[in-house]
Amino acid sequence: MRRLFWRIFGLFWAATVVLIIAIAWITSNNFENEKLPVHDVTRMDLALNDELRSVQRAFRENGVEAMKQRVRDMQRFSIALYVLDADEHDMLDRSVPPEVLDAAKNPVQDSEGFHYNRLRVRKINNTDGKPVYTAVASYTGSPLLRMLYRRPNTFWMHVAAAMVISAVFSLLLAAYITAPLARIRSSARRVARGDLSARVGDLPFGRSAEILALASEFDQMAARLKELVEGQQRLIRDVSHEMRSPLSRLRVAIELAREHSNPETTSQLDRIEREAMRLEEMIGQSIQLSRMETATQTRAETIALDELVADIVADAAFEAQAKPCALHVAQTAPMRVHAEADLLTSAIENVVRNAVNYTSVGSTIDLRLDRVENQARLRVRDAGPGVPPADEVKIFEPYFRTDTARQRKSGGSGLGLAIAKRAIERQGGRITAHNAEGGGLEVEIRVPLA
Amino acid sequence: MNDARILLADDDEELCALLRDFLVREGFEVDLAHDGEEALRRAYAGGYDAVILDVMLPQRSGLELLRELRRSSKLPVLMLTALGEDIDRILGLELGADDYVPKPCNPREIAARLRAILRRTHGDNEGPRLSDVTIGNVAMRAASRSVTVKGEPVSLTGTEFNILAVLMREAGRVVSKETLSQDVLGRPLGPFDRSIDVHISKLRRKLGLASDGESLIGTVHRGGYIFRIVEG
Repeated sequence: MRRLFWRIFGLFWAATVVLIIAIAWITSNNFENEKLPVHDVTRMDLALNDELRSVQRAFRENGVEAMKQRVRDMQRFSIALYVLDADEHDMLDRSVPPEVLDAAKNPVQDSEGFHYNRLRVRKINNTDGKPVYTAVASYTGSPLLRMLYRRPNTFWMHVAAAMVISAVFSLLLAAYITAPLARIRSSARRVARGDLSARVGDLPFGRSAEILALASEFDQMAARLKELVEGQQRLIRDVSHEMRSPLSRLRVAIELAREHSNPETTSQLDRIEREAMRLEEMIGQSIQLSRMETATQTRAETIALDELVADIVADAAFEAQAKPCALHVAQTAPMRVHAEADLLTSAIENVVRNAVNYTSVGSTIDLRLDRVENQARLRVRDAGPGVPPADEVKIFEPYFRTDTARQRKSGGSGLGLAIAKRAIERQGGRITAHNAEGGGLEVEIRVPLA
Repeated sequence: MNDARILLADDDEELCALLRDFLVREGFEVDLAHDGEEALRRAYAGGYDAVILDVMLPQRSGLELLRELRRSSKLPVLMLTALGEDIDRILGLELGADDYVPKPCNPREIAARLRAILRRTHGDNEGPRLSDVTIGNVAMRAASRSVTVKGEPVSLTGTEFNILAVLMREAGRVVSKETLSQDVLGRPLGPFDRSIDVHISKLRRKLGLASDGESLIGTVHRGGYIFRIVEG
């Protein structure tokens, strides 16, 4: 947006400067070539007459050399002045253009002297009044250059004023175009980042019809997007919420049924209860996930990550024993992070639990905690089968399974890593997974240090 | 202890009927209320030893009802909070619930928590031994289960009273959250369990500050809580 701003500014500025120069050129040209009301000559003719008169004066008062000097000076002011002697030879030994020769031979009389087309002609007399030379003068170059040579200060002041004024207007124009675009863009970026309530709203500046239409259409799109996403989340949430009631009743009913149970039905009831608990876990996680997606409020605090990891590992030891497998935490230094405690706990717990689920029986899960730049890094590596390389990102999607065969065996809800990802990202952190060298999956969590 | 009268307030009538069957079998006498108004009316009418209160009730939410009830009554309350609505637990405890059970759950859990609450509030012999204690400005009378600070009576729920009793008994020594959870709530401390912390923060508010401007109950990092013995 910065670049677009400066590009618009630059283009518009250059265009106005060119325009101003063109207009100045045209007007000063007109000014010089316009026939004066009383005389039948132009201002340019009068000015050239003045120059010719000064040549005459120089010759009469100071001689030939002074006249030559005078002619040389005039070249600097872009006046081409030829002084021809009787042999039609230029005093400064320049080659004489044919038009100048014609002018010297056939001057036309007017109210102010002699001319030939646009050339002014004057006989240069000696002190006796006898014509000795013929002087022919004309302008070369543009009227603007003449102004620059004649009055450089005025010229540059005018140029500076024109540049400044056009720069101001160019800035305004560039802002007029880019300010609303920048605003729409920042809204789009917020939507992309997940803030579906971002709207362009009323534009304070740059209210052109097309931009207003774009803004209002963007807002409509964002509103619709929000509706759809919220609708989907609401559906998941509502389904999960509604499933809790029948499940509650189921749990009580199982307990009541146990009263009249014999050993065979007891084992079946245990089975039913286990499945009910599994359902409960899935519902709980799906509610947690949908809450994380919608909740915007954060309650971050400073957490001792090393202690948190130690607590989680201690809790997971029970599950690890049942597998059996071992959990090993590499020696760590104290490390404080700024995060929401419950979410960070739940994320790490889900990752550790996932590792316990997939690691092979009798193996060891390695946890390493260290510092990378200004982030805390936790790596959890299991000794399981890993995942196909293409799935390293997908395993963080809700309900993603690498293959159906493992689904029943692992018995998770399919939401653990999805929850971990959302939870870590909410803390401004990052979670990735890759197959470790020598087999097994390594999940890496990074969270900003406090 | 048996035949304790329980008021079960939940709008899910089928669940209520099932739970009543279960709790009756467990030796409780159970009355049902299906909306907030009815629950409050019955609770005020008295005669109950404890209330099982669902957070989501029509007409008056469980939390609103709890706030209303706590203005005038110390009737033990066990909250039923919905799975995944963690904030309700904290709010419930804040408003003076004695304990909570997430729903759905194994009904045996409800019965066990209920018994723990009743035991605590009735000062049964299974609970921590209580005796009259006075430390600094805080005086505790075991028989009346009352507490005064600088002679002013302070209204505590049963759970808050029991936590304070344990802390004062061990005054000057650190009591771990695990111990508090076991002794007072009758269950091990769960990984995300903030119940004790919420009860403690309410206790702190009610007891006010000690003469040195600090709270009477100190927090020991990763250890637990301590009732500080302050001179004067």
